[in-house]
Amino acid sequence: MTRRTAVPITLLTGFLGAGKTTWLSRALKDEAAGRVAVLVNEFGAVGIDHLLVGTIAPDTVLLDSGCICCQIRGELKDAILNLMTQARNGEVPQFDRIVIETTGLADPSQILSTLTFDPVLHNQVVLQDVVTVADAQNGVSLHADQPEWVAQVAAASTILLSKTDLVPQDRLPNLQLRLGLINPTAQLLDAQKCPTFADIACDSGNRPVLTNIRAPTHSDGTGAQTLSLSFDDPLDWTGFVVWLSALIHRHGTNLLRVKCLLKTREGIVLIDGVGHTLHHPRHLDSTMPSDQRSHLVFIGRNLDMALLRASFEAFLNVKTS
Amino acid sequence: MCGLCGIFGTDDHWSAAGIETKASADPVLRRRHRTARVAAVNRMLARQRIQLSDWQGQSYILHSLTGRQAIVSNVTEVWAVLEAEFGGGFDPLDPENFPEPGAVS
Repeated sequence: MTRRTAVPITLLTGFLGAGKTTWLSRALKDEAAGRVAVLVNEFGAVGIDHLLVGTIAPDTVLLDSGCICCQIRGELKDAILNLMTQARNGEVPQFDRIVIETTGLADPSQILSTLTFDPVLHNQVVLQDVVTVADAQNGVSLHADQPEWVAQVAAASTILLSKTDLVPQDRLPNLQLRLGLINPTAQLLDAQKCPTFADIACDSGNRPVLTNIRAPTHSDGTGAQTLSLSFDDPLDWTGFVVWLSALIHRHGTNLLRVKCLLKTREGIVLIDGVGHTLHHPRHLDSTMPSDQRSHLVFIGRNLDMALLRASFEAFLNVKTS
Repeated sequence: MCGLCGIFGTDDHWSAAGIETKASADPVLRRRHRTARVAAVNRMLARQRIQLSDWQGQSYILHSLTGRQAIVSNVTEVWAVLEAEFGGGFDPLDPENFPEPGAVS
């Protein structure tokens, strides 16, 4: 019996009107995109986005449960499993990737939790990228007050800055800086340049991660704070996992994102988590570009970052910089 | 699964991942990881006077000095059960819970 490989999933998120469907429509036209199935989760009784995308991707399925991400979970699971069953039975074309376009009001952490921990799903699909479309025109000024927007930016592995042609060019560096301060771990691309699925691919094994950390702590006015820690000594892996589990349990609601590149005695490990959801750690190729230090980035809201640093140092017995 | 009581082994949780990124299939290595995990939890709970121990290599038992006990499946459940069954949770950011300097090697 042959074991099927897990189907990669790209989660596409971004605030209302940010340009998610516009980018997706363009990306699907790229011949190199391969065979893509699209699931669209829309807010409102009448879905429209799936019609826009559906002309390009005939496999488009509309999840019409509205935006409450907790309610979408069962439906999302059913939609993915139905899609895979239909592909196996030849009822829909085969596909190599699934794109889930969320509503603009969705907090991605619940969806990530479904994809990662559902006992049926987690053996059949693997979350590959979280793409957040951020509106250059309204993003930082209007959307930044919305906790969902901050959560979406914090969860991203790639941020696509849309509508860059509608704002003065001299404002762009400031926008990019602010997005980078909310989420220093994400790569930032200009949506106007039509990045493809290959461009947004976040294959951490091939590129250095977490080494461009700008400042140890930062608060940018959106309520999001970041804490970046670096240190040389090898980390006690087990002690760290236990400490992190306690932190996520107690403060997961305020902990928007955790991303860590850890140097342990046995090798380099990448940890990636959003809210209460933590993906299985990834063991990285030791030949990857790295400065051989451990780097940790915490993005939170209403979290005392000084205490977080003190707790990490006290329980893990390391001195960070 | 435990053959006697039917409790599922749940080492697929992320907190059980070893450096090889999945719970080890090697029973000796798996036991070693579990022992290290129990020791790490107990270091964190040293000031709470509550301790964790392994139970049949399948689950863990959380017990207090007064004899109160609870079975937990993984490390994350420890913190939830502390809140629900032992009358108080554990906040890793509370300096009162920080270990004594030098207590962590």
